[in-house]
Amino acid sequence: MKRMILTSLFILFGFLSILSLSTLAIEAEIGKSAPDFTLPDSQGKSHSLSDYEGKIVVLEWLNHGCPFVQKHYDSGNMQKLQKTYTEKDVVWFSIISSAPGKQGYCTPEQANEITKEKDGAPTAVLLDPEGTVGKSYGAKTTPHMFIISKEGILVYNGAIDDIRSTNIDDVNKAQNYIQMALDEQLAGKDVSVKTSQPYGCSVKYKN
Amino acid sequence: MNRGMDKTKGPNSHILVFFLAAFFILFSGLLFPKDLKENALQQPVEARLVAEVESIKPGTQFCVAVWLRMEEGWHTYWKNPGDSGLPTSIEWDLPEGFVAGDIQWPYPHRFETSGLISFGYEGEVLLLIHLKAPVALKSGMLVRLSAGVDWLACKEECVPGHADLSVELPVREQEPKTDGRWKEHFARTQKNLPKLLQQWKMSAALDEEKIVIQVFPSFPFHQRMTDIVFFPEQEELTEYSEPQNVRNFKRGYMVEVKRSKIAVKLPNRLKGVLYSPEGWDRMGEVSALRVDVPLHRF
Repeated sequence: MKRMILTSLFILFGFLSILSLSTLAIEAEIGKSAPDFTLPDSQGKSHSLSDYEGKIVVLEWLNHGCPFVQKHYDSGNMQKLQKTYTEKDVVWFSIISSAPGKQGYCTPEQANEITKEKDGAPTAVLLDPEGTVGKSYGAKTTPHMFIISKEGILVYNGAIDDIRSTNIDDVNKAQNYIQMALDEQLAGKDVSVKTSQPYGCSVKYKN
Repeated sequence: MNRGMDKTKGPNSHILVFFLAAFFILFSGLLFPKDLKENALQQPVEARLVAEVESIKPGTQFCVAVWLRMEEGWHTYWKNPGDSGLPTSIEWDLPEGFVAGDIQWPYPHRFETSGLISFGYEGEVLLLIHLKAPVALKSGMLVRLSAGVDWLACKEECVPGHADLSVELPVREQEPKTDGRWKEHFARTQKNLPKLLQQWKMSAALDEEKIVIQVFPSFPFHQRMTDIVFFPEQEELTEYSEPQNVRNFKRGYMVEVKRSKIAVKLPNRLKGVLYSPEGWDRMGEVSALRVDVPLHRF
């Protein structure tokens, strides 16, 4: 009897570990519920995606050392998008998934400092040094952008725009996917371009 | 420009500034050798435009290349850079009548950084381009071929680079001689270009989860090959970080590649490179096959 219980415990444990592994492997998929998360921001406040039901949420993967990110901040493009859409009640999270010691990693103080210096205007800068949220969304590059609908559905996954370069002059020539998708969402329409290949530096995850 | 400043500083300050600037430009190398060294590290790629031939024959095609040499640990990118990065690009500035073909990319290497995959080159690489010379060229004249080259170099971190390159070649009526300095480089690169071999029959199909590529030789070929790698030319189609499943059959080989969840529109053809360290011919000289086949649904 004792053996049977032990065996069934073993089997149950096996199942559980398989389950937990497979949930880890699930990446964010368009048209499905966006993975929930809880992360601290640079001010020490905790944010869960589920707190923002009923609002459109933008996730922007960030590393200020990356030349692709610099293109969108030095041109003022990213800050402009952040200002424009947070004023329209969109929640904008800039997420740093760089591991300690790697490019782009920030302590809360450093994150506040650089956000101020760059005149960044997101709702909050979230810190993900373990990379768990980055990996659950399949964030590959900085920048890599995601948009979540008011219903909590992932409606956009991809690049910020359609010109892959580090050249500031390209910002105004490019078709901005985020602007397009957010305007569509705010007008109650479906997002027309739901995915694109993200471009940028690799996210500096922990080894 | 600023008149207020001129008034406060007076005209003499200009001369002083000029001498100070000249002094700095002349001696900065001696004064700040460390800074210069850091600059060299900041740009880890050396670039040149090189020609395979010593002269141009009017009306003929010839081969040139952008040569890139990366410092240790750094890489530049293939036409599909992978999860991150940017392919090297060339903008030509050619004399009238010259026509440049597309970049011919040698098969890439796979780089992994914290679970993310890049496709590119380390060490050195030649990106080959065929140029066609116009018929109306006068023998004896000197032709200057110029190109602006942009690349992204990454180690753990990334540095974009740009160089305006040029090479000068004389026009001669006789058959051009090969330039001995770059002969080996061009030969090695030609060898590493993906080839279409008639003796290999290829097909590709996909379902919800994966793409399956099958290759069969139509000649006696019994090499066991377990390290075949598919490099996808198309983006958004496959998951780069997922392991590829290689199987050897009696009659051929199969590679299973996991599909990307990003892809919304599916292409009708599959394009890319099949690499095998053992080689696809009996001499083991062709390491990379070009893949360009219809992509069927299962």
